[in-house]
Order: sequence, then C-alpha cells, then structure tokens
Amino acid sequence: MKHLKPLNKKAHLLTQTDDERAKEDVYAMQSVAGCTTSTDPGWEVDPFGSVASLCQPMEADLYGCSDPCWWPASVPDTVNTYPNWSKLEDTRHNWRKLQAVFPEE
Amino acid sequence: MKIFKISIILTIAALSSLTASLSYGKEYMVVGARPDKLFVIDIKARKVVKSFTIPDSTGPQNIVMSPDGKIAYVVTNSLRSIVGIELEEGKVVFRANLNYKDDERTWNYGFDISPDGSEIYSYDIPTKIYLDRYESIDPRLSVFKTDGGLDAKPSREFPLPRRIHLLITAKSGALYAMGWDFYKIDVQTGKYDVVYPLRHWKKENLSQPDALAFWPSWDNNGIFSTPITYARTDMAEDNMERFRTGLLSFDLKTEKFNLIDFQSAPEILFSSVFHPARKVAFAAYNTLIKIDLVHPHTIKRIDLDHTYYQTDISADGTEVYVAGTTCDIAIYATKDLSRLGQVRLPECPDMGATVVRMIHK
Repeated sequence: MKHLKPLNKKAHLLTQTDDERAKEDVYAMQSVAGCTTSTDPGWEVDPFGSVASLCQPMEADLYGCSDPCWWPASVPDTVNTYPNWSKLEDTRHNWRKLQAVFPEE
Repeated sequence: MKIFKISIILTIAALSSLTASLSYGKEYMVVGARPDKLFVIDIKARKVVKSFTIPDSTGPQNIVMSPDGKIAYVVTNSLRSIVGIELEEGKVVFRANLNYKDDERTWNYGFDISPDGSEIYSYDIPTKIYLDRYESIDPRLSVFKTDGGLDAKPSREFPLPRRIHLLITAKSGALYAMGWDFYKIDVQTGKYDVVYPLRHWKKENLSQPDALAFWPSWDNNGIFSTPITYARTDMAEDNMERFRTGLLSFDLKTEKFNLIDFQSAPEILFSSVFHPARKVAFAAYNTLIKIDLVHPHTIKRIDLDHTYYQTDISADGTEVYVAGTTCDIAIYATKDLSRLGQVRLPECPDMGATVVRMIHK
C-alpha cells in the first residue's frame, strides 16, 4: 500500500481503517449490473496474439459484445445511461453514424 | 397504466405481423433481432413469413420455445425481462420482469422450459445499486408458471452457484446448468450437484478447459454440444499440438456427457451442432468446419463471409445454418459445405447475440 495514495474521501477513509475485517469483502461479480462495472481488456488481439481470429468485420461483433456489456471501454453503456445509442440498423454499412456520447448537464 | 400501455403495444405488435399462416408439419426457424424484432422463417423456402415487434425490447437474446412450438419466450429489455409471444398473431401472452424484488437490478443469463410447458426456469443475477457501490446478490433460480400472465411472479426461487450461463431441460424434466461446472438441479427443492466438472475436472495431462457456450443447438438432434478448448500439459509449450479443441456434448434423453478431442487449436469456434445421425458435427465462428465424430478429426473447413455466432441444422440433416451478429442467416450443405443460399432479415436489423431456434408446426 505504501506506493498507493488515496485521492478521494472514501479512499482516505479506507486507509484510516485499522481493522481489516471492518472492510467489506470485494470480489469479482459473475456478471455485470451495468457496463461500467465490466473490465474486459484483451479484445485488441486474439488468443494467438494476432487479429485474424477477432470477429470479422468488427461491426459484426459490436452488439453481440456491447448488449451484454463486454465492450465497456469502447462503447457507451447501453444498459443504463445511453440505451438509445445503438438504435441503428445494418451496422455493417451504417456504423459511421454511431456517435460519441457526453455527460448530460 | 402499465397494463394499458402493454395493451396498446400488443395491438401494435399484432398489426406488425405479416399475414401468412404457419403451415402444419413444416419446419421453421425463429430468430430475434435488434432492437425489438422477432421473425419466423420458412427456412427451406428462404423466406421470412412472420415478423413481430416485441414491446419494451432492447436487444433480444436467448429464445426458448414452448413444447408445442406455438409460443416463443424471449429474453429482452437488456436481459431484464422474459416475454412470451404467440407466433400466429404476435400476441404477447407472458411477461416476467426479473427484478421482482425491491432495489435490485437483475439480469438473466440462461433459461429453459419444462417438458410440459408449464414452467420457465430463469437463472437470475441480481445486484443492488447504491450511490457509491454495487452489491452483488447471490444468483438464483426463479421458477415462473407460464400461465402467469403479463406480470408473472416466481412461484419458487432457489440460490444457485455463480458463473452459470446456460440452462438445459432434459427430456426427463431434470434441469442442467453449465457454468464453471455442469450442475443437475432439482427444480422442486433447489438441490444441485456437480454432475460433470469442467473447471474442476481431473483429466490426466489436461489443463482447465475453456468454453463459450450460450447457444442452444439441440432442437433437431436432441443433443447439446459446444466447442471446448484446453491444453495438453504433457506437451511442450512451443508445440502447437499442445493446444486442443474438443466437443463437449450432453444427450438430452440419456443425460450422458461425452468429450471428444478432434483438432489442435488453429481457430476460434463459438458454437457447434450435431448432425441428427450424430456421425458428424459442425462448428462455426469465422470459419465453418465439418467434424467426423466417429474418428474425430476435421473433415473440411471453409471461410465464412463474416463472423457468425451460432450453428444449427435442419431436421433432415441436409442443411447447416450459421446465424447471429449481422442480419443474414447463411445456409450450407452438410454434405460438402457448399453454399446453398441465405435469408436476409427485412430492413437488415442486427441479430447481435440473439439465438435461433428450430420448430416444427
């Protein structure tokens, strides 16, 4: 822990907790309650260290991954915050119409 | 108010259906598509014969058919709901919202139906949402009566292990679940046992296996199968033969498991389907391969036009289908993997991770 510094109030509180048992257990969830909870890096390359075994084309895999939140870092959270982001048909031809999203005021 | 809203949507759903009637004795394919579509396809005619709009739908995923083939139960609404749609007129006859307890967000990752069609088994993953954290609640099996109407509540619920993603009802009515291991579940008591270890298997010289098994492909052959990968730990790490691909299968009648090893791992395979005669099988992803089950090896391999997730087969065993991802279902001859045609869904909606089911009416 000596190399980690708390940056917010909750992190400061955690560092002040002497009794380790006072901290709630944190463990990996089986699945996600929203795309922001999912971290699934590694889609940049296939299991063989190449790209030939990724889905072809990428657009074919877009919703198969994003609907169950498997592309959380790359696309908006379509489960919770931006459910209408992906209302697009024939994505192989229309993917350029997919837009970036920004926090609402 | 909710019922009124649903009634309006029911009307819209019915009006949106095509007018053709489903013929008795024919084989059809049922498939969903984003954001709210359900299609019935006369697959031998290469023609969509029914098109429905699913109310309150986002991304249809798993589909389970009633035993008589009349109702399609669809997981939709971002995995939060199961909706039952009667396939003649498109009437919505069932709906269960899975977050039926207070303050929880619940996803479905696997469901199936009892052989008599009276109960739906849903594997629910609930989470409590707080301002500063999520609390992962124990996953559960929720049992719904199929006559529960448009606001169905579970008649029973039991805790289940984590990491389950597929439920299979055997012909006997026994419920099986695939996760880190294969479980057999008593749907009356909730008692479950590991009946085929996967992550915990003790096979000599084999590593832990890995599989991505979401797809039901047992409609026309009575057997679940999935590609499964593992390593031969007794072989050198720089030997590509070390990395193996097998087919794990589960016979829905005998309830027996079987594992065959058929090739090293030069390709990714998402799903597989047995030929009804069970001497060959097919598996797909970026390629479509034909597998000899008697003397396990890959007989033939072709490149596909694009990635497909699911593999399925006609009842007469002459045609193999690949579906999922985009808006077309490609059709190949089981004999030599020559291309026979395709069905393109109207307006080209993406299928994503939705599944296909084969029915006979």
